[in-house]
Amino acid sequence: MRIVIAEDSVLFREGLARLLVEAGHDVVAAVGDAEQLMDAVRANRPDLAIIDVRMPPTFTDDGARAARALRAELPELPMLLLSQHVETRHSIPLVGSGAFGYLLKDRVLRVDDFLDAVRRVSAGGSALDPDVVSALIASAQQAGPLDNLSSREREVLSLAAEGRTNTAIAKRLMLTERTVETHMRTVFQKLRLSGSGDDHRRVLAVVAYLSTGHPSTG
Amino acid sequence: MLFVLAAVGSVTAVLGPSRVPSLADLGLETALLLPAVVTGCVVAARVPSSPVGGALSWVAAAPAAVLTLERWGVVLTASHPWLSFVLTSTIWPCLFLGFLALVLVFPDGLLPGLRWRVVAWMAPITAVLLSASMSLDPSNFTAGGGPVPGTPPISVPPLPRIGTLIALFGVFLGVLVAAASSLVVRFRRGDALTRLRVRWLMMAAGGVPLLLAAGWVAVALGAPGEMAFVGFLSIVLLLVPAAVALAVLRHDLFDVDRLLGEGVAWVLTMLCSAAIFAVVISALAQVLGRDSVVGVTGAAFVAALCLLPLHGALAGVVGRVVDRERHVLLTRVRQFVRAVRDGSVEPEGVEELLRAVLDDPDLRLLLRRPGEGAGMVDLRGAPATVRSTVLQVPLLTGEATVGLLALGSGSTRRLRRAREFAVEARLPIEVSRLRLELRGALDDARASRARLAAAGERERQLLERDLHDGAQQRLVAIGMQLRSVQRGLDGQAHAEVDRAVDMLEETVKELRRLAHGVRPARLDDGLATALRALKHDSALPVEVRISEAVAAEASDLAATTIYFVVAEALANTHKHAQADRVDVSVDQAGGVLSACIRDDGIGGAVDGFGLISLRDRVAAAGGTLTLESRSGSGTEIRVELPCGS
Repeated sequence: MRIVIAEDSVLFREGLARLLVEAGHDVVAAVGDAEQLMDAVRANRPDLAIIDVRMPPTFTDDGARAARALRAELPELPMLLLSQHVETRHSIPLVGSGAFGYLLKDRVLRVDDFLDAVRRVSAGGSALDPDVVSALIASAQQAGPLDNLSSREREVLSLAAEGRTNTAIAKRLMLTERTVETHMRTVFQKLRLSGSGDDHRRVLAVVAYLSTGHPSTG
Repeated sequence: MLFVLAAVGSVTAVLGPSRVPSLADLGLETALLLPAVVTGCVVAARVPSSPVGGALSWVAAAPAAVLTLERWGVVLTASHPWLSFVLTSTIWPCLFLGFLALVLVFPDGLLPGLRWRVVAWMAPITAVLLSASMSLDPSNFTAGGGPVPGTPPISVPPLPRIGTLIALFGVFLGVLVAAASSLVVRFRRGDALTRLRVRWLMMAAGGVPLLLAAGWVAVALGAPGEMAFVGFLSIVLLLVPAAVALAVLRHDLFDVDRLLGEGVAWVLTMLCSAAIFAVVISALAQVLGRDSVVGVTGAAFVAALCLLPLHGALAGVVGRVVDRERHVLLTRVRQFVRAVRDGSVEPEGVEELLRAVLDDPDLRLLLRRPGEGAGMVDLRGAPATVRSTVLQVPLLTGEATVGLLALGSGSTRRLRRAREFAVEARLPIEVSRLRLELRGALDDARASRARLAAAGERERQLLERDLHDGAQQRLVAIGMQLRSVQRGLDGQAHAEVDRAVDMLEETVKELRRLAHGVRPARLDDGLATALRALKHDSALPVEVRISEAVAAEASDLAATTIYFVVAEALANTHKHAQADRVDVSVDQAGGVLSACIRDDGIGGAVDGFGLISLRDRVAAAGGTLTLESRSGSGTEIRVELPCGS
């Protein structure tokens, strides 16, 4: 897989490149700011762009803004945003369009999980950091329907929102896939969501519900 | 018309006698009479509607006529001795007629009332009858041993003659008193302007009886009559017209109230001390014997001792009678000062008060701000300048000028009043000044505290960024290196690296929590999101209500402060309140972000360390924190902060 990395910290950039190369990926460009990122992506047409949210020149959200620009320019380009802390304003608008991931930086230390997320996103799926999901659930405007969920159903919902497949959820919770499917159906009924088996559309429905408090109309 | 007639009459009367007098006499008489005529002309020219000009000329016309008649009388000595005697010696009551007319019609040209017509008619009638009856005294004629040849034309028995004479004197005196009292009537009924004008005339007229008395004393002591009465005449003919003209034309020129009050007070003081002198002398003469030197010196000493306190007391009493407005206004100022002392009015009202009592809507009270050169400010603290042409009353403390009164319109009288009232109103002025200073100092302190808080906030943001981008990032990078190294290891070493990376992960989480405590990154998503996250963290059921009005971009400082207050309050509630639930509501209105945290716990919270640090945090952001926590009825914390958006 051909990957472009945009990250201003040299230490972290080199570490990440090494980790990806060792996993068999091809890091075609590793740059230090948003402008170089745009150039590198245009020149290399990679399979995935891994982007730090906070980068020069303003050190606020240059990476996130570059990601939005890239999504408008190249809608098919899968992107994985990395951040030092949880924030929902950069992740939520982009997660809706698929092939998008948002993770805290220290997730890279869980190498297998991280590489799994990389694979998912580059295949057009989603990867939402567990902390982001719990922040979403915490700040959900209408607590009512969520309160009706059992703790197991909550766990299933959270993992689904992170972008995991039923198989991955079953493995993680040590359940059978059928049980996970049953839980998912119950959750969707309780939240009055019209979901289907498609992982990506499921994430969309859940995230839209969590961030707006209403079942998605689209 | 009346005026022209009177003016022409007076001048021709002076210049057209039937016997040419000596040139010196003519000059003196003209000099005495002309001022009245001239001032009459000036007043008539400047204020044509006022009959005072005409009346003034009458003042001159009456003595002119009398003087002319006197000369005519001298010519007639041989042919008509009685008529000559009347004209030369007993015509003097007619001298008063012009003056009486002036007093009666001053200052508006009308009699004070219909009944006063009696006085107006009685005056000339009584004057003529009086001079006639005086002339019938046989002792003045050669037959009775006097200098006038012949006998009186009508012989009247002494008893009715003297009775009539005394009666006429009484009536004439009554007319004089009535004329004088007409001024008092006007003074009491009139408006402020009339009073001021009447005061001018009172000033001058007060001198008439005084100098008349002085003239009598001089004659009694042997001075020649003409010399003795020059003072009296000059008062009547010079000072009265001058005073009347001033009263009509420039009544505000001098401080007539004070002149009048002081003059009367000094005359009374002198009379009183003379009385004291006399009483002490006779008392000491009784005790020590007649020719005692001790008696005279002692009496002089006592009189001198009494002089000043007596004058002070009399000036107060006279001032209250003569200058009633001043007394009333002064009382008003004193009442205001008392009200300020009682705390029932704001001292800043002193400017309005001074405007009212000085009848000067443009008056301004300016104060000097300490330590800022010569800069003056008004009572609201706004910088103010005053043109140097404007009349000013400086307000001094010791040597330093701490403020000034800028008058809208000026005259000696206003200036003196302004000075006097400024001294009376010193307390509220000084309090206003101190309050202004205090407000300025407080504003400075608040501004500097806000600057410090903003600087602190910037520091915290920098620190947070450094933690995130520095230490945290490095740790993750080290972790990645370890993972990379781990690939070539197995067994024990592989597990060791796993543990090391786990520890690194924990350290990164710890750092994130630390950075979060410095400035919660979750505030990046807005105050509402951050507060809902707090609710999620809390072990207690928390209801968060955030008004629609709360702007997403409320100032960082305000939002951070509210966030920390809510977080700390929730922690305190959890620890101490034994509450079942907490309600948090946040609202924004008119540039103020407010939050209320209420629990249903045991209450009774006091300002402990946690609350004090919260208070400081809120105050540093320019806000206020109020705590209500009665035992048994829960705790409520309210915070209000300026949010600048």
